[in-house]
Amino acid sequence: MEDNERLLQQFFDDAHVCQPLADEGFTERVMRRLPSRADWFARWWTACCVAVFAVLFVAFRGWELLAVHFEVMVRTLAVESFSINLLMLAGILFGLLLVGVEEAVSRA
Amino acid sequence: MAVAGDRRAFDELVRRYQSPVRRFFLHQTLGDRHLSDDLAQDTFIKAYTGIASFRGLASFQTWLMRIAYNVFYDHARRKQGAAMADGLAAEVSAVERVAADESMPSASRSALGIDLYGALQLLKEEERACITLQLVEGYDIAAISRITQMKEGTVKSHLSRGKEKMANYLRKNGYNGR
Repeated sequence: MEDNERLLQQFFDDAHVCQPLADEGFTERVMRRLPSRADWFARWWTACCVAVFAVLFVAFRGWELLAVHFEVMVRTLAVESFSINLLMLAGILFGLLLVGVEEAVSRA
Repeated sequence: MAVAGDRRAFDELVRRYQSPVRRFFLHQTLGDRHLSDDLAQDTFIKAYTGIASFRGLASFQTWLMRIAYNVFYDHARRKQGAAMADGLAAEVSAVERVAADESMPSASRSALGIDLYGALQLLKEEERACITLQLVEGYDIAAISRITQMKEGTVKSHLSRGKEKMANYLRKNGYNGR
């Protein structure tokens, strides 16, 4: 076992693997990729929006509104599948809008 | 010590610690310099965004190497999934990669360098990480345990099995250390 360790240590020494690597522009590449102030702002802004939404949801009893709308949706499901499609479309568009805005802010 | 948002201080930290981090990844990726630099960049970016969580209980380098190990672990899991899907990624020979990479240091392109990655390729990821952390970076078992989040006993068995495999490979290839 100690023979193995000695052999490997000798091998790593011979291969010069412990020598320091030259920077070769690595630090500059890292510094260019660091998150900017815009990223910090985007994160902070998202957190604020979520907090405001949570407060409003509780203050206006959002779950009651959701329950009413859900009930209406279920009742109209049988007769008006068109409205469900519209709801789905609106949901997808809203999702894409959120992703797009987030992306635009993070690239700014 | 750099604090979040202090880019000049962080620049200094990257310059000081880029070598051990990049060298660690270079050995884990079996000499893939481009991939190891990408992973090293991810490590420093994670360190920058999470530097507030560094409490100075361990050395900064140990903390950084722990991030590096986690970055490599995540990368290995993703690659494992992709390799299972197409069955090709694991087939890329370290020897071919070293021969093709003109930016490798001359010592690594030599026959000895090819043996190095050939030998490291025999090891499991955990064994390779433990061996290079100990024999190249000089960490003791307690520090390797902190970096890899493995128990010290597990680190010892990875080291023992890995050294056995590597030593056998070297002897079979005519290397006897003299």
